[in-house]
Amino acid sequence: MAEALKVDSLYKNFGALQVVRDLSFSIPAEERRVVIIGPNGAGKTTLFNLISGELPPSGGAIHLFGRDVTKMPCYRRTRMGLARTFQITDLFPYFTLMENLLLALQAHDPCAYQMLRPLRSYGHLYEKAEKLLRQMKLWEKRDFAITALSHGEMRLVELMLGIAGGPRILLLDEPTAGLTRSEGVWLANMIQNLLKDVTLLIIEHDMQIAFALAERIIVLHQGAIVADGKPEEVRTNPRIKEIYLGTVS
Amino acid sequence: MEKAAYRWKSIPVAMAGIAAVLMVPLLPDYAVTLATSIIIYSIYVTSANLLTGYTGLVSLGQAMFWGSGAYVVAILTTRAHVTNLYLIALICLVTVVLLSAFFGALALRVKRLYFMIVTFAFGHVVWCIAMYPMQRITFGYDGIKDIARPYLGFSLSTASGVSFYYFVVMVAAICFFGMRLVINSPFGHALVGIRDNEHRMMALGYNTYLYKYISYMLSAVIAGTAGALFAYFNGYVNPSELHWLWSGDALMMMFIGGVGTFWGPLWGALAYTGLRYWLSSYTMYWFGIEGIIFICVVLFFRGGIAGFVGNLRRRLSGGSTEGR
Repeated sequence: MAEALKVDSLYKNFGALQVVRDLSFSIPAEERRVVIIGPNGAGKTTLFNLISGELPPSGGAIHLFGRDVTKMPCYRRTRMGLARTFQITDLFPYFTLMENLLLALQAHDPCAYQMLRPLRSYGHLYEKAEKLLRQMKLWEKRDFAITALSHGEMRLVELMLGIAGGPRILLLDEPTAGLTRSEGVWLANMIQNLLKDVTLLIIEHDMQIAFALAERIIVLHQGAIVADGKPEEVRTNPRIKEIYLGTVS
Repeated sequence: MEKAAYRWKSIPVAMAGIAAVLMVPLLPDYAVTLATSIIIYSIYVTSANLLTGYTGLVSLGQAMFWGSGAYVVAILTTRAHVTNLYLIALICLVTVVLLSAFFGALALRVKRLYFMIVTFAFGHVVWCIAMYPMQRITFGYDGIKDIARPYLGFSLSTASGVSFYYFVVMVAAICFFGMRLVINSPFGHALVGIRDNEHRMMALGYNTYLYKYISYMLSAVIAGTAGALFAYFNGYVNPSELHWLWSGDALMMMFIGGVGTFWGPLWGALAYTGLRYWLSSYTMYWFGIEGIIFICVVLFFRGGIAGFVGNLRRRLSGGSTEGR
């Protein structure tokens, strides 16, 4: 079976600081929800930045659907079916909710470079946006300025921008950050139901949600993998308890 | 719904605007000349607005394209004795596109402040080239004079001030219409996205470099068009048309008029040229007064004139004054 994502002895240094070291793992295309956990500074977000192409690795290789993308710019990886969301909500503050979504939708549309026809005339983009907004129960707020939305709603928009292009792999960087437990659970369910055909790689801090969502858990610590397996295996791994409870390792 | 109502309401305003523009020739000659220059400047400022207001790239090299357009017209008409306007327009277009393709590819390798510095440097290089190595063609500081007004074919002459004014209005209408198309298109939407959050645009799958590159070239073409018109209008071109100070003037007019607003460049050119004309008849220190006004606009009226007018209109129609 082809691998959706393969990371091969990846390194990332910021000066003398080694943030990611000798990281290797692969995710088969049929795997759905892989959750990455690890204490602060474990290199989780950096790993995402490397996979999505925002940062160049210091060493190693990244393969996407069997193709070496290590040197490929960010936007081309997105074209191949990779998308991501950000831990810190990163939207377009001067646009309305609808305009934010249209921006994400038109990116993968043949009209992306069209400059002589108004955006308003592309009905199919609006239909897609409407469908997505209704699913997320945000249709009523489509004309709101993005800054007028609540934090929880912004997290939803963040997610929508990620899934708008119909990705095959989606990197979710703490989708539930800053949400209450119940909101987080609602969002996790939403993710589970909405994205049945997408390979998800999720960074999650809330252990309860992490274990509920995951088919597989990868534990990062100080830039390296310390455990990789099914949730129940990871849960009983004594090494993980050590890392999280802060005993000397 | 609301937007449609808004559009209906703006029809009388648009009609009044068009009528005002068309009736300018009823005024005395000096007013027609002034209006012609304002419209030419507004095209130039629109080019800067596309790049800075909509794409978020602050360039100090717009004069390079304005000046190139002007010099191509000047050299072709006076030295090569080319009289066909359409041929000249084509050569202008090719020149400006080639220049911007070359300098854009280099300048867009860097961002923000560095982009501004690099465009400034390139602009200055082009100015120096026009001044010294090409002196035999451009006559250096002396400039090129006696540029004849264009002949449009179909026995349409633009020799008189009024006919030339209408010619400029026509070209400006085409430029503004084109600008409108671009801004409302998916491409324009993406440009604003890049201005606000380039990093996220890349993550969404946009080749932001290519977008910025195309925007840079489009803006160069608009600036070149304005420059070519200016050469015909003024009948005389000198290296100050290529100088970075004139690039700075574009930014100044844009800020006064309203950055990133469609009509801002027209307001800006109007206020700037009008003020300059009016103030310079009273004092030789008009430069300083202009500077003070500019500072006030930046400090107190961030949206420039267009922002101010927009707020006023919304307040009058009873809506909230908050931005969208």
